[in-house]
Amino acid sequence: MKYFNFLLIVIFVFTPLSYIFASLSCSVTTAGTCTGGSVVLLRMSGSTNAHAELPSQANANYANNVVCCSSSSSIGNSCSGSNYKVFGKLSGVTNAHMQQTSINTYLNDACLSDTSTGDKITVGYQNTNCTGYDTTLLSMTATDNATVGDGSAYTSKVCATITPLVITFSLSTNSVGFGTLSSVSSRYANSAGTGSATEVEAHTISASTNAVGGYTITVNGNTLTYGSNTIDAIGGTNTLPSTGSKQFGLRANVTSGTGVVTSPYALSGFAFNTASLPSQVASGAGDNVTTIYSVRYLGNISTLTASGLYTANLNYLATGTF
Amino acid sequence: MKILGIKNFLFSKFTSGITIIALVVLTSFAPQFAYVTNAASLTTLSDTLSPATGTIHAEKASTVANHTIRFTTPTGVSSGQTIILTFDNATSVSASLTYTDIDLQDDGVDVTLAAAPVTTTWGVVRTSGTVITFTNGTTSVAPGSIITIKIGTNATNQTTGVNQITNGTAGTTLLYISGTFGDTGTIGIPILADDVVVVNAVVAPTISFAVSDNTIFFGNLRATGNSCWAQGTDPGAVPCPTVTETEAFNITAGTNATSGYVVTVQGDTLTSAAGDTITPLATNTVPSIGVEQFGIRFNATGGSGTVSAPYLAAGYAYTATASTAIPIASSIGPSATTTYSARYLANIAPLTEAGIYTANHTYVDTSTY
Repeated sequence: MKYFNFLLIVIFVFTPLSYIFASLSCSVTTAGTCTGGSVVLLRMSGSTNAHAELPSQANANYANNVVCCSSSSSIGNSCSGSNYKVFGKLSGVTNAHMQQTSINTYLNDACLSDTSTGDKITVGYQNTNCTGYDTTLLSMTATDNATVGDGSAYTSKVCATITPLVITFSLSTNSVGFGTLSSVSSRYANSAGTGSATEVEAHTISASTNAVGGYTITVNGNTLTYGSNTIDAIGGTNTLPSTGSKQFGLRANVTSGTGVVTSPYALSGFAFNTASLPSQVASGAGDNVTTIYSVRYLGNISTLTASGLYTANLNYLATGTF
Repeated sequence: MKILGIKNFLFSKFTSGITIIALVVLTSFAPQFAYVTNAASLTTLSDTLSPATGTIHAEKASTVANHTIRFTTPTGVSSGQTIILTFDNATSVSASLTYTDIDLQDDGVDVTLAAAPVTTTWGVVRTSGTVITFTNGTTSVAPGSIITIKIGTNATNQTTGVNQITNGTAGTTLLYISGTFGDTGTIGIPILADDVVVVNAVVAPTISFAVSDNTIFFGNLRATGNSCWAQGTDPGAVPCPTVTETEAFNITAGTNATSGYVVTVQGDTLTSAAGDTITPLATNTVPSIGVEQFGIRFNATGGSGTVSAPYLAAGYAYTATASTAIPIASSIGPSATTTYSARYLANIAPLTEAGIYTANHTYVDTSTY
């Protein structure tokens, strides 16, 4: 039992937490065991104080210490295509010293590539550990003209992460309705199209992303319109319902998640200004947390509002900043 | 052995405690994906779609849309280097798309585009249905510059764009940015089966119409003295109880019909049981004593309804018949309630046949929605 507990301690103390959920996992092993979907990213002459050669080489004395990586994504060691990152530059294709990419004087690139749709490769250099990354590729004696070793050999680590790009966006329905508007009481649209005398959710918007800059959601479109007749958009400031006058507006609540509704749509009143469209209604951070926004629509008319079937087409658009 | 057993037990508990503490500490303090990007990663990438001219859809599947692509290039773009845009998810770049459909800005300043790079002019080629390639001319883009690329009808530099990119299928479209300039990046664009919420509302038709009195009286008409006007109360067999123009009754009408309403009158002039008639006035005519005259006129107050000719002027007229309805008032659109004050005039000649004369007038309000 005590040995089991010691093992647990060792695993959790000396293994970066990100390994537990890693999209990318690397270790230094022999070329012969780096099979079954694993990919060799670099070959080394030893586990410490070693020279390096590119994975395209096959010198026998570099076969016992290879940087071997696996992932649920389709990774490779290609230095071409639309999605790869150079994690080190070598002085030659074999028997080489290594430098960090920013120095950029060695001509031979060692790369991590990924052909899975939308994956983002991140490579970085960090002292002591690769906390915050998926995995440690290797370690270096210096930033330039370095010999290399396995992940524990030197303080300067070469780290990498593969993050699937995520942006989700959906509307719960594409049609909502007020039913029959009234000049003596406010109406609220619902998904059944029949409307309600009390404020109700018309539809939801769901959104999430892991984009570093998060996302924004905007609305664009027109106010309720029937031929040349319109029900006035309520305006760009949050306004409470007022029966007997023409009003069309929207507001939103956050049902769950970390996103926020943008002013002027966040308060208890309603807003919609056709002179200032598209208009941002919500935004969220790149935390990959799905936020559900509950959207509500207000409709009021005057006694002289022309009769007819009114329609407003509202386009919702999400944009991520990656 | 017993003591050793206790020690083992205590050690086991101790190490279990450490294990739990280690888990808690690691879980609580581990940095949450604090990425450090390298120099060749584009930053602040976005692609904002917008509707094509005359449409509302932007992120709808299989629909054309404009693109505004922005990114910051840490490395810059040297002379002769390329920037390549590659879309996936069945996105389709119009086969007709050329540099004239595209704008490229370096830090907000438009560069000149052409089919091929020449000196400071960039070349733009639709390489395939999913790829667009930009080739720099001789002007370098400085590291850290913000590149903005507009594709579609939103591209207005040099010429306004015509051709666009058609969205792929519902899901996530990826736009890869690469090229010999060395920086790379990927943008995700959500594509929906339908990106529009249609909001419907009904404004029900309303119409109000009323006649204040259904029976009016002239009394005994006469050929001398004064003209006679009808009144709401029965005066009995007295000659012309009302000798000045007076409201006989009123009509109220209102509607929210988009094309308003029309009020008509239908019925004969004053007619006796023997079939004799008081001659109706065919045009708007002022009262004249001693001749047969039957006519009506109206004043309008409130709302936006108006009296129709020939019943609007100061004189009187009556052009309806038992079989022909004639409009006496209308509105051209939604109108609050208008009150039409009805005045009835009658004069007779000395030889007008004696008798009890009656006219039955039917007023009808019709709205057009």
